[in-house]
Amino acid sequence: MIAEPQKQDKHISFGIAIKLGILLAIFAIFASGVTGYYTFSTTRDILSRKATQSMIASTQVLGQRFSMMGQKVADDALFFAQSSLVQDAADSGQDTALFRTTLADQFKSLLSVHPEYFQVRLISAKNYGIELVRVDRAGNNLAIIESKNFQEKLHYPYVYETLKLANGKTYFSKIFINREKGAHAGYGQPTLQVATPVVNKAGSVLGVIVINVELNSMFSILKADLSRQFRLYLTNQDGDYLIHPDKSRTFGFDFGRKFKVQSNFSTTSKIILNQTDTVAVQGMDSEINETVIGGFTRIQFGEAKDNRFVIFGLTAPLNFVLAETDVLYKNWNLIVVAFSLLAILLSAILAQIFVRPLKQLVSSVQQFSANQQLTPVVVKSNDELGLLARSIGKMQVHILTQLNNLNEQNKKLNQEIFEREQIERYEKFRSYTLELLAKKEPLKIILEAVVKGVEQLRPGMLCSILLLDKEGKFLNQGVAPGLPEFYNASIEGTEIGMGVGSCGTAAFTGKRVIVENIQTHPYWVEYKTLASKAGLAACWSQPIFSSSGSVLGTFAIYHRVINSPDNSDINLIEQSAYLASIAIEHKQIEAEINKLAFFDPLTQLPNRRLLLDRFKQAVASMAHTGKGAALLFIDLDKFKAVNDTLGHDMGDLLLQQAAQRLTSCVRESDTVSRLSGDEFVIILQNLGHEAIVTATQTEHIGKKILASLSEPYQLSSHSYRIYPSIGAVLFDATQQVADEVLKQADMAMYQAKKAGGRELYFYDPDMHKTIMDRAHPEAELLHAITQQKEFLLYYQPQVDLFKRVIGAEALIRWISPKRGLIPPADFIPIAEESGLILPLGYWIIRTACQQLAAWAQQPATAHLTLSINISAKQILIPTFVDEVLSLINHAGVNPAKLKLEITESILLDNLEDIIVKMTKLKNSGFNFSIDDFGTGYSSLQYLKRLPLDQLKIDRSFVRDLADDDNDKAIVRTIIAMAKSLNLDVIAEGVETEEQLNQLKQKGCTQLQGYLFGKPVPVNEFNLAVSRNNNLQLSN
Amino acid sequence: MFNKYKLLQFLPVFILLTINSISVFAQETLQILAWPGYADADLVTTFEKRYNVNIEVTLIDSDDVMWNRLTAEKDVNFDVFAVNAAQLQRYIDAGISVPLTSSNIPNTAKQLPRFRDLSVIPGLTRNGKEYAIPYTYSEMGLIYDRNTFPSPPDSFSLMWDKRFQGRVLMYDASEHNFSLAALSLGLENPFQIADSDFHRISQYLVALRRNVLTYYEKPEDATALFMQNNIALLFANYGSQQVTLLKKAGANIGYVIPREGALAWLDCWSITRFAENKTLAEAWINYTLEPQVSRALTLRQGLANTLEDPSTLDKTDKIIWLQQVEDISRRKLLWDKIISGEVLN
Repeated sequence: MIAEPQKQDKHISFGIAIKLGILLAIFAIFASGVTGYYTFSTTRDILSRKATQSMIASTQVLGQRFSMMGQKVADDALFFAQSSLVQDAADSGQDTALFRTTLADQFKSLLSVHPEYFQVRLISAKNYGIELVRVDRAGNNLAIIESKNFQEKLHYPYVYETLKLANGKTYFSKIFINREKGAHAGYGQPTLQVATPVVNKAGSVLGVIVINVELNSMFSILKADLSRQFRLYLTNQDGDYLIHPDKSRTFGFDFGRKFKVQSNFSTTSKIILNQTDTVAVQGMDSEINETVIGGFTRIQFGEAKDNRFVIFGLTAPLNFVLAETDVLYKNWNLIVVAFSLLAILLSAILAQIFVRPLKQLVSSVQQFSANQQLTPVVVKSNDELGLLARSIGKMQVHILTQLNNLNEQNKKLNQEIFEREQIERYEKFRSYTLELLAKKEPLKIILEAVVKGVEQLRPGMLCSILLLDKEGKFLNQGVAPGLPEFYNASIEGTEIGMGVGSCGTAAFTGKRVIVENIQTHPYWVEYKTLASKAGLAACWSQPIFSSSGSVLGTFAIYHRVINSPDNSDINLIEQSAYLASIAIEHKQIEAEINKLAFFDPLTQLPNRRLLLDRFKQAVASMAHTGKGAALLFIDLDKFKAVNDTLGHDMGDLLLQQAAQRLTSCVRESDTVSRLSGDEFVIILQNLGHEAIVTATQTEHIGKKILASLSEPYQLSSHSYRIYPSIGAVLFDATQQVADEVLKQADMAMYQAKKAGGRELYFYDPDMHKTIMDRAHPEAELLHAITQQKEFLLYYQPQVDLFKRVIGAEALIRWISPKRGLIPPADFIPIAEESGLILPLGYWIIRTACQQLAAWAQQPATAHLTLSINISAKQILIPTFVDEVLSLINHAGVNPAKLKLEITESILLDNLEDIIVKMTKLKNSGFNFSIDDFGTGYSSLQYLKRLPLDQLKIDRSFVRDLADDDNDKAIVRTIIAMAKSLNLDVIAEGVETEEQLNQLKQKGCTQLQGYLFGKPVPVNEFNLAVSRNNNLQLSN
Repeated sequence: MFNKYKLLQFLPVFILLTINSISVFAQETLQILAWPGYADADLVTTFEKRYNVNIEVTLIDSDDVMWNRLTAEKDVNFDVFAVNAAQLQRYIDAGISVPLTSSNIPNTAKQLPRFRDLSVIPGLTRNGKEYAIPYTYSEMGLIYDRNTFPSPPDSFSLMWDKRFQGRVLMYDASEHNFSLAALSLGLENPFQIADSDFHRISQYLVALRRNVLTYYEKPEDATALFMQNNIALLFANYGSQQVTLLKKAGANIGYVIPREGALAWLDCWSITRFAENKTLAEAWINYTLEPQVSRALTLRQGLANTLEDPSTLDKTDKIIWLQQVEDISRRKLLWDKIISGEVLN
């Protein structure tokens, strides 16, 4: 932890020496730079100001030169005007022609020395200002204009204005673009006209001398000695440029544009407004894209009284002007560099001197922090550094002492933290376990959580929990996910005892058993091979105690190496065992509570609460199956007397016996419950679909109960008789309220009690009456069977695809002298219940055999087969095969003509027995058909094993064949299946042509139903067969 | 399914379209050639801001300068120019003036009825196509010094009167001066001078030259000359505009339409074939017909605008609309000689 910073310490990138050096150097460079810059910039300012001043001066000089040039022109004009030659030439005297020719020559001389002049004229004051002498510069030539080409000029200002002037005065025109016609070169050029009057001695004005000056030529002379870097400007007093480096910006007014100096150099407007004579300008000249400085000066022009002026301007790029400062700039740079280098050198030396002892101290401290060993004091000087070094020495000693103390404390703290963490983790797993308990997880899950929790806390430990059975003899239901499967299996069910491993011994003795080495420990003699196979070397087992101190099981910790527990291990074992005990005991209590909550403690029968629950389940199941259900309310008459006379113990005993009897009277799926005292309630489920059947079945069971409960009870030495009263209610899926049904049953029970007891009463009076009337059917049925006169077989034709009758199904009818024709559904269940089905079945087989024998006599009916239904009870009697064989032999009928139909439901029980019997009969030549195929237990398994000949498709599938896709699919599947098993298929309930077509299409070959004929007595049937035969013949 | 967010998807397109329509003129420069007072800086600035364009105005003070500017050999880039109706035909002949789309200039609906039917004003249409929109007009009457003339002079011929030699100010222009001379001499059609009459009229103009003090070009110059010299008569080329200026300068003057009748010019905006953005040029014309712009012409320059009737004209005054003349260059050539002082014997 101390090593890291040390590493960094050795890589100091910017030590004090370097920092100090850099700082000093920066300061020195900065100082010399600033000083240099200040000098440089001040110098530049001074230079720039000086340059501006000198440029203003230059413009003034230029202006003066311009004025002087103007004055020179005026002087030239005046010179001529005052010469007698001109006066003579202007006069109208004699010899004027000669004077004028001479004057023209002189004008020519003047023009030849002044390239900027382009026209010199003498103009008369008379004759509308007619020219008298005129010399033009035309290209390089000077032309003396002939008199015929003279023009009248009085309407020009330079004439009519000049004529007004006094002698010796001059007229200066505005500077303009000359547009006067003539041969002169000045046409279209900026022009200045200077004129003066010609006055004779008498004072008469004779004319004017006019000199035209071409301004561009004049200016090229003016600025001839200026550097090209300078830009020269001339404007009129309105600011219009007359001269401009860009010619297109001059004389804007002449073509309607305004190019003004004040819009480029705003300060010049002061001159235009007469506020000052000179201005300095500085700024960006957008035309050359450079910073320029310069000056503008107002120059008086013409006669002073006219107050006319022009503005001269001169600008130059700032860099050009300040070119002198370049040297200064170079020198300044050199000085700054030199000073900077010197400063860096000095700073480095200074820093080195100051920092060396510091470095020594640093390395000494680094050494100390690297190996915590005292280092000798290296700096011995008596200054602050020396003091620092000695202080560091003392501090090192102090630090070492503190460090040792700290290490000691740290160790303790770590140990504490470790232990606390262990506790916290244990707490976590403990609360997790309890959480599982609270969530009512199964015990196995909770115990597994305990085991896994401990294994996680202490890696290397393998845990197991074994539970002791109720008798306290065997260890089982082990939870040990970490131990091998085979090991757990071997341990399971071990009887506890001394020396039966660690756990067996611990459970037996109720004491903790610590086995550090399984291989050598006497307790493990029997098991050490097993343990070594499982790779287990040590086993510590702790009994799990209940709160009352009894042993519930064991909690064991295994190790794969020889190992002995320390205190914390023992602690962990005890706590874990305790945790397991909580879970186990809690679960036991929970089971107990559950039992108390739903069962009557006395009889162990479901109590009212569970009854209500079962009622709900029954209702739900009925909605699904559509089967009937009933509720019986049973009360023991005068039970109170038992308690009173024999005591409560005897009463309880009686109730227990009654409960047992009740339970034995009903099926497992029915519910028998004790409501309170001597009141019992039974729910009967899965009864018949039809109410009457349900009622009959209910009555049957009720009667059974009445009989059973009425038997004497053996109470200790007493034999005691007590009789029950029973109320019965049928209920269906629509009845949701159990209390309502209970109440009805109670009321029915009360009716039974009122009728004297030992009775069964239905809540529904109609139903009661019906059932009571039915008390007779059984006897009637018996009578009818005995008499054998009231039963008849009806025959329903079975046809092939061509509607030819190929056989019939025999269906029993009971024609009671009292009640008329009774349908089979009304008496077959009774026959089944009462066992009368056996004689009835026998009668049917016998009658069928007789009929077959009769048909065999007639050619028209000899081919017919006859199907009869065999009931479950019938086939189950041991003598069934013999009876059938005997009957058929007796009748002398071909057994192949008799088809025995059995229902799927028969096969549910005693399949093997049935197969044996069927096989026997099959071997004798009988045929078998499965009735109602598809409605129940249709398993290929039994289809394959049964010796069948035919499948009969149930009417329920045929009924909706036209519309229901499911039924279509089922029928198609049944037919396909039958074909693959090599069986015939007959469909029953065929009533329409559509159904017939569908069945044909799917491959069904035999058919039965109203479409071909109803079940009819044999006479009618025979008649129909002969009719059918005839019909077939005629076809 | 109509989804309002779909509209949002089109929002950038709308914005783009809007920006485009605004920026049709962006960063463009409209070059205008016009007479002083037709495109004052403040009015120009308003237009520049509204359409986000630059405008360069070039002012001319004579038809000849305008012709020179527009027929120069290079660097002609004027988009729109204010041209005298009488001058327009030669610009059409030269292919400089091109037809405009008056439907792009909706403010023409605000003009007085006589300016709305362009076909009845000589020279504004050709082959059914419209080439110019009237903007301002002025008759060229006579300004006189009330001190000299207690009652108004009744004829232009007084300008030739030797009594007023050196006290007459004339405008420096080739065309009108010939027309004026012809009118003064009683020619039937001052715009169609017969060859045989040219010498006579030129001589008459030389005579006028000999009687004037000088020629002026700009109204301000005329005002200055009038004030500095003892001027008796001033041919008011700029009409009432000059009256305003002179009165402002304190001159005691009157203004009259002499019995010969006064030539009257009608200035119109026309678009040149150099215009790259005709729509922008038309937008400018439309802008000048907005009441506050046209009224400024009257208020500042004393010129009549085409939206409102002027109050100065007398009903009996004879007004002769300037028309295209028989031969401009001939008049110009002659005039250059006259103004230069040639005697033309």
